[in-house]
Amino acid sequence: MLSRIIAVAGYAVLILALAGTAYWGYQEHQDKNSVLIKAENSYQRAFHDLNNDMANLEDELGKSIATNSRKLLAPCMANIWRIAYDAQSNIGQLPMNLTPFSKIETFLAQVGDYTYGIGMRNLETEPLTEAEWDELKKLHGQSKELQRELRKIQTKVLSDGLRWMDVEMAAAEENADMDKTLLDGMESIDKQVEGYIETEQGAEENKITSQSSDKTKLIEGAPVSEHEAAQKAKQFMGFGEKVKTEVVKNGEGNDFSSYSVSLKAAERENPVIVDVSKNGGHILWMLDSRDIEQSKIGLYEAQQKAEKFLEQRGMTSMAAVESDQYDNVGVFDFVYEQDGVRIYPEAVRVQVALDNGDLIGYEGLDYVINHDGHVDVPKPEISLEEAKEALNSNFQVMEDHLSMIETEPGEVKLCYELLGTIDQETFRIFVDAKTGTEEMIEKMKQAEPIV
Amino acid sequence: MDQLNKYFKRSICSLFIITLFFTFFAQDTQAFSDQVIQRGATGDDVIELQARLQNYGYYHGTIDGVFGWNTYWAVRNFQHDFGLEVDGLVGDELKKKLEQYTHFDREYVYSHLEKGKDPDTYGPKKGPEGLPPPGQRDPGNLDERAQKEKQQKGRQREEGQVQRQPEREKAPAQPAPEGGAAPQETPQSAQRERNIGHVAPAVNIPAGFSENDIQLMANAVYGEARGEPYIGQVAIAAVIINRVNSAEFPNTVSGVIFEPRAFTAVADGQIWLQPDETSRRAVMDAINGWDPTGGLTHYYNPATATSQWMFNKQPVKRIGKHLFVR
Repeated sequence: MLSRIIAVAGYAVLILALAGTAYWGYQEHQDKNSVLIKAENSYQRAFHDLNNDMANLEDELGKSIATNSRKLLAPCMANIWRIAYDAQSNIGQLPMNLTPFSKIETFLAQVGDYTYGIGMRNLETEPLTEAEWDELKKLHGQSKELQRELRKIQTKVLSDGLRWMDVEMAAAEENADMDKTLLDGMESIDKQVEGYIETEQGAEENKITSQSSDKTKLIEGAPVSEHEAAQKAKQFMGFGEKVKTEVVKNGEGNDFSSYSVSLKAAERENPVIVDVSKNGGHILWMLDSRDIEQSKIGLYEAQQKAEKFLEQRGMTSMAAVESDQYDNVGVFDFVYEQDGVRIYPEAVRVQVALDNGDLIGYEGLDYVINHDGHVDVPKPEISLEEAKEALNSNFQVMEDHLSMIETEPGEVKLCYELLGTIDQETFRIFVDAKTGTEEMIEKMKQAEPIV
Repeated sequence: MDQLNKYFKRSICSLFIITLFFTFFAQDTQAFSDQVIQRGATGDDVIELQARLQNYGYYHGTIDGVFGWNTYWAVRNFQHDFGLEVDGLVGDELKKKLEQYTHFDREYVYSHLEKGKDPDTYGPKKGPEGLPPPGQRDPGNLDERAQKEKQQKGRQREEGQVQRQPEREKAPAQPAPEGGAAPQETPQSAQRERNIGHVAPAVNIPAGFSENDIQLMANAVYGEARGEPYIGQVAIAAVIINRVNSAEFPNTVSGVIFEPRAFTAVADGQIWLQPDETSRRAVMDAINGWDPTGGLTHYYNPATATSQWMFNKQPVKRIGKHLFVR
């Protein structure tokens, strides 16, 4: 009897011990996994940040060779120095035993030192020399190539789901079969940079259209009810009474409260969502997530449809300033135009499906906030020729407009908008039409090669 | 009667062959679609446009099928030189001029596009040799023109087509290209030389972002919000962007996504699941400026959230399972 009790107790203890061990083992495994994921995440972050830095570096170096204004050159130099420094720190966070990036670090340090020196001196009394400009231009070209190469590796990392931890562990186990893609790619980049250094030694995004304004700024107008909001949404979409309508009230009691109206036609799978402001019942944005078939119309025709759509909703005198095709969708930026002057703060963006030309997206927050029907446009005090004279002599102006832009929050200035090129790069420079100073410079985006 | 019949048959037959030839021919030379091509467009029309402009020395960039700024300036220069309205739009008149004066080797270009990473020269190899620089050109001297005329003669004879006749007669009277707006010759011609004639496909990417940013964001959105309503997915992507733009968070997409303890999908590794097309489209909408949250930087799932401080935030909007807070 006793022996039986002892046997049972013994089994019980054994089972408990086993379960305990299993649990402990599982916990350990989980902990290890979680640590591995964390380590992997920080490597990934450092690597992707490095890619961002290289893109920004290229952008800022590009701007620095296009500007002729000391006011813009000094911050440009400071930015480059900062980005180069940040890129070095990101390289420092990568598993160094695997990344032969020493040459790139040296290159970055040199770029940083060089631009720091220029940025810190008084550019009023000591402007950029011809030789320095050439040097910056060379650095720009090199950073561009470097960026391209790094981006290729980045794409590979993302598309193949490469993990730094795998590489590191394989290296630790001296596994001969390990994936060499990362290492080989980086080694070749580093070699490339070696060439730059020997010949050496001697971003921020400026968005001028939407997204710049304060989104919490009060929208004016008398409050509308849920029902009125739904009517406004239906009217905007041109839908009849038959669509299934749902209204949700957002942000009760806030200045920015709005209604989300969901409109679903019987034959449609997904609803169209329209956000309507509580104050004034303005259409803030609209998105239709329906599937889009093969393109049947071109970007030009789509733009005309968008223009017509806006006109029918009382938005006349809108000038298309930008158009882009993404697969089967056309995205267009329109700004209000008064007497031929583009009023950039009053912008809307629309999406047109290229299968049938219907509007599938509208974003009008900036227009709702800033448009009140009339803008005080001052007369330019300098001529276009005078504005051009102030520019870098390497910058060839190809197109010009008169535009009102927001240079600082709440401050809108009349500027000459000058589009032009240096070599194969296109820039947009805004020159104050009163004082002739460069207010803003923007390097226009280029298509991204498919790797 | 028999004789007549035979003759008739023969003529039908030859007419058929001619038509066949013309159809083939028409496809080869009049490949441009009827659409007006404008800046930002992508696709086959743009590839042909770039190849033709490059063939005539107006375009020095990569033939990539994306109507970007360099293509735009090339079109405007061409319009200027040929006395057309300078608006950067490629309409019928411009297409006709391009077809008349330039050469497009479809097979060659497309074979290189498919290879993708084998950049080769197109313009200099296939283009007319010994051309004066753009701006001092006399369209009448070009080999192509001669070629073209031969082709047109053939076509007129066979088809009795008069449609192109006026074009041809007008041609000599055209204003000779003037100087001035031609693509600028740069001191760094060495660098430009390398860029000439690259044939490699590309895509439009919204300013300030890269294809890899989009990929990474699609991963995050899929990991965090797959199965949520579409607007909810756009909202997650918008939160990432709002964080990038906020002073309280890292300044890059990767910085925001990989910030420790920021997103559960990152912490538990779900971010590495293969995202679907919907999450990618949501990311594109958010990047293009659609923000269902109206500028918010925080959200949580009330059913699973563990951080107490989230509950103290002011709720603004609920989409699907997620509560977006200020």
